[in-house]
Amino acid sequence: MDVTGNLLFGSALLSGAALWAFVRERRHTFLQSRVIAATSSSVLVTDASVPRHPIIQANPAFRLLTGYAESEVLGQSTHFLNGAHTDRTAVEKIGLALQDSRACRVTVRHYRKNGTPFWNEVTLSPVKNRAGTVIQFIWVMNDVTQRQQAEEALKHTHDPSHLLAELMAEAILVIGEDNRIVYVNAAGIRLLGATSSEQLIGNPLAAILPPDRQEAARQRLQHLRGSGDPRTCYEERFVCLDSHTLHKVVTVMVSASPVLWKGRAATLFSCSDLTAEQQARSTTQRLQQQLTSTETAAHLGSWEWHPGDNTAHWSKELYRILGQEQDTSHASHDRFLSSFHPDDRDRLHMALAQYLENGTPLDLSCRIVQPNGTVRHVHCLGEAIVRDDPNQPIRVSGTLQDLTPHVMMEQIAHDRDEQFRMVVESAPNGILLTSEDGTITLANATLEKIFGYGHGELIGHSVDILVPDEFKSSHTDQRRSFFSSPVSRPMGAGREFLARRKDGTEISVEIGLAPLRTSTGVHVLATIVDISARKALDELLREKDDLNQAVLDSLTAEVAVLDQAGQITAVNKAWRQFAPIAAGEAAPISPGQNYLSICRTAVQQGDASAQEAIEGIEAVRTGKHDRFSMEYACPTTDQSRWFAMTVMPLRGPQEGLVITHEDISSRKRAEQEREQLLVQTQHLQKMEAIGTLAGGIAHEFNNSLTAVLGFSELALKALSKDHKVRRHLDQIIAAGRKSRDLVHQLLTFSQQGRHLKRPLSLHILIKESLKLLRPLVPSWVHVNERIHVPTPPVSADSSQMHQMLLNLVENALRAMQKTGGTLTVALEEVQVAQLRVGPQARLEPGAYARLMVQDTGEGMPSDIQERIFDPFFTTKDLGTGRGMGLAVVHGIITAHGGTIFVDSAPGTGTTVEVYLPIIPTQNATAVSPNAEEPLPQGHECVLFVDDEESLARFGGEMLESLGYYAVVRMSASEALQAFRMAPQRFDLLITDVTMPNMSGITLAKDCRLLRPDLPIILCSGSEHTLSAEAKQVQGLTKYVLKPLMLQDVARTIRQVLDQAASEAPSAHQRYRELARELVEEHDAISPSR
Amino acid sequence: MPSVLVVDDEDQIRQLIRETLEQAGYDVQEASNGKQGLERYRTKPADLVIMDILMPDQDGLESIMTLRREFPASRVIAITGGSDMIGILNFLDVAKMLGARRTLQKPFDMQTLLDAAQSELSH
Repeated sequence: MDVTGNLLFGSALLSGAALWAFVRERRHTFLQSRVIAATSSSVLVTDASVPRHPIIQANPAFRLLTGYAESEVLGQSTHFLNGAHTDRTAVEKIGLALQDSRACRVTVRHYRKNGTPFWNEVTLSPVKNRAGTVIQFIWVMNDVTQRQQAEEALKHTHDPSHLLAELMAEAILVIGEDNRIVYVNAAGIRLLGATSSEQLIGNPLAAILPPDRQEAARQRLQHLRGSGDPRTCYEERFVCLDSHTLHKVVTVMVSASPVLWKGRAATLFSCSDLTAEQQARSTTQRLQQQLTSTETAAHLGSWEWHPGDNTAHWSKELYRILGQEQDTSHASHDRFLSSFHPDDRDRLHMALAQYLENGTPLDLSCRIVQPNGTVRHVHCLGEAIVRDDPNQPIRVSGTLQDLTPHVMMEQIAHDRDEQFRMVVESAPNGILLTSEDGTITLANATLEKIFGYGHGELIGHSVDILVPDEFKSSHTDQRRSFFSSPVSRPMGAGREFLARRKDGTEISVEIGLAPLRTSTGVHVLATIVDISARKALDELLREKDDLNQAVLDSLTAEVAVLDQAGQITAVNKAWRQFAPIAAGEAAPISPGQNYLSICRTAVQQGDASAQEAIEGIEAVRTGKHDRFSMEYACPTTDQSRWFAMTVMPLRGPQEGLVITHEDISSRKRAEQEREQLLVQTQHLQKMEAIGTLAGGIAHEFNNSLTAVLGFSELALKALSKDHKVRRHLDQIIAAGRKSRDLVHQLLTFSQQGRHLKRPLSLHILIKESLKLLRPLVPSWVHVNERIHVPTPPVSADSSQMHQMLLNLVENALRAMQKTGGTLTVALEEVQVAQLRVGPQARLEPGAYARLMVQDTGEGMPSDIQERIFDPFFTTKDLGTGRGMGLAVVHGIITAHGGTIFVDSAPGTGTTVEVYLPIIPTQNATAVSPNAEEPLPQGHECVLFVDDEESLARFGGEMLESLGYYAVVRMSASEALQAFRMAPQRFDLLITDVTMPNMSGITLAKDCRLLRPDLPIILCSGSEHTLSAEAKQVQGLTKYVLKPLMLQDVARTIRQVLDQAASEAPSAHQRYRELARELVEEHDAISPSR
Repeated sequence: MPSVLVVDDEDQIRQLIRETLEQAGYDVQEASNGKQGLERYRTKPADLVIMDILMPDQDGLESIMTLRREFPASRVIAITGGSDMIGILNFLDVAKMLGARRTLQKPFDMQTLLDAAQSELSH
């Protein structure tokens, strides 16, 4: 490198590195910034700790040079200065220097903000920290466009010597004999501020010299020409032509040599520009001035020592630093020295001695001790030594800077920086600092990781590179609006954004913003969390939750999840649907409520199953049991429902519980049905067994009875009419007959289905039967008849239906014998939709005629209810019944394909429901019991006699219902008395045969004496009595069997009366025929009995 | 004097019927089962047979059938204390189908039996 290059390089270093070195000595970034800001050289500071070397400071001179404001370039790398014609190699050279952390100088074509190019001489100086690591680079920039242009121009000159001269970096001037400029190279043009050589060539040298130098220059030229000295060097000043730098004087070192220029003697000036050096000097001076003015602020004191007379002079600040009072203490070198800490004093003496002797710079960090004992850290610096002729120092000056606050602050700042750095770098969130224009000035490792950038790569970029394209425009607006009123915006609250990674993929982030006011304006500190994973997890969890919920909802059982405290945290669909039904009027059980509390409330309200539930839940909750289950009836629903409750721990009991309620009503119903079926089957089996047994014993029994009755008859015949034993035999016969009836009923019961079934209108039959039964009803029993007319016909045997109703009504009346009450007999058609199973009955769905006989009597306890269908079972007092009542009813109903339900409770009465299948309509050729012929009626007067009051009343009502005029008497004597009063008044006598005091036969005979033509109907409970005794009564006599059947009675009455009216005279004759008919009829009937 | 053959495994019943009928002037013979009854009838046909149905060896129904086949003019009154059924028919119905002219369910009044016997033998 030639001299000029060295000089230029040196000056640049002086203005950059020296400046920086000065600053660095102060180790004060505040000062650094101030100094850089103050310098007229264009300076940039970049952060070396980030690969891209983002700009962290740009001084005002830089703006003058490039047009870029500091705020525009902060965070950016210097690449923005490059342009279309920027030399790659130069850029690479800078890059390598940055990479290797070394100094370099490069001239490179850069571009201003307005797009104009300029040649920039860039001097890079690394700045090291105490550890020796390069932390920053100082970029000093000089516009060298004109020089570069001159060099370019020189390149294009074809004269080799020109070319050489043009290539020279030094300014070359050739002065002719007439002291005029004959040649100037590109560097010379540039130096002199001209734009072309024409501006200078031909001008006198004086034109570019200051007036005070013109004469000296003329003499020197003359001297040169004459002396023949090959070379003379001196300092000269030139006045530049450049309009911008008008009156600018450049100081140059001129090396003048006599040359031959185009055959003539000339002088060649080779000029090195000293301006830069001078500028640097002046800059330093200026800075020192600035420093003096800020001496106090910088805690910088100045000292001066005159070794000759050993006097000293201290600045005001020095007094302060040393802790001395200016007024009382004299500045002295000894005092200065003694102010130093004893441990540092030797070092100082040595350094000072070397400074004075060899000029070794005095630069010492040490401590002083103030008179009050305070130790302060100071930096002692020798500034200058003024020597006299024998080279003895006459004046030494320097500074003493109090670094104590800085040392402390530095430590604090360092710690704080370290803390801040650690906090920022180790923050789990991405942290981003951007300036108002959106330039990224800080990004921590987490943020870089989130967005996939390398270390420091983001610094200087616009934050927009992190924004997906579609949001870029809106993001700019948002940023503006944020800066227009910067308010902290915390994270969360659903602030989710899409952000763009380096590789172009988009991620979900959550961003919190906080304005940060700094010296360089408002920044925004953005805290960014990558929530992609969280979102994905959320999504996954939601999906899982959805799945769980879907699974839960798909369950038919009611499911609730409880936390450890028993609070419901979740329920499924079935629960939600059932809860309002279960709650009824109350609020439904739903999440948020405490299930245990609900159970406790239920316990207080008397729900026993709730107590069991609480105990079960507690057992599972405390880990005593793995599982708890119970079955309970749901008490709050309108219909009775059964539930199975299961309690299980959720994972572990500490994590809560799962409670399941499963509707097991149908299972329970099925169980009940099964139980009932079992009972029913058992009952049927029992009945069957009884039937079999009955059939079996009937044979033996009947044989025995035949013998008993038969031999008794024979014995009776053998005895005289007034024999004493006759009475005993009568008793035997009575008992035998009773037994016979019993066996007969037993057989009826076990041999159902032998009766003639035909379509029957039950409503007619029941109405008529009730009419006949009316007399049986005591006055304290109210009869409520609810017979629906018409009820569709059933296939039934009418006499059996009558017997059935009689039995049921008898039972009902007996139940109300003491208490009275209401007898309800109802008949209606019903459609049975569901299978109904009772204790001993099973009702299939279908259409039925439903007969209900209900009493409000004493009712039956359940143990009796179970036995009511058993043959021989009776609650009637001994002797009043035959013990086959309901068993017979049951047999009849079963034989008719019907079903009987008995519902009874002690104290409330008994309800008997009989269901008989209705004949499908196509078969229903409905026949009423008497549809073939209406009941024969009449208006004759009938004397009716029965010793039983109920039967007497019944008879009277029956006769009146048929239109007859009835005179009812309850004994034979009363009847005879009534008959004697007016024998001709009566058209017919109907009398019971067996009556106390005077029998019906006697009555009949006596009446016949008064009225031989009187038709008589004898009634008896047994055929035997009738057949045996009917013959004793002469004349027109008929008999009817009890119980009286309306149809039979009505027909018989009419028959008898009609016969009496037509054949009164030949009544006797007719009797024989009739008697035979009757016998035959009887014989025909008897097998079927 | 009309003759009656009483076939019943029960001694008491045979004795009762014998006494009753003899008092009414009938000539009564006895057999204790169907087989014996048939043998008696074959030896000496009776005007009327009173036949029990449930008997050991050969029951009444089979006996009635055999008797009616061998002697179409025979007259039978079937009696029984049982209530057994063959299908929907009870024994007495079956007996009628087999040719019994009358049937009587035990226990019956002796008068009824006499009336029945009288009726059968009168035409």
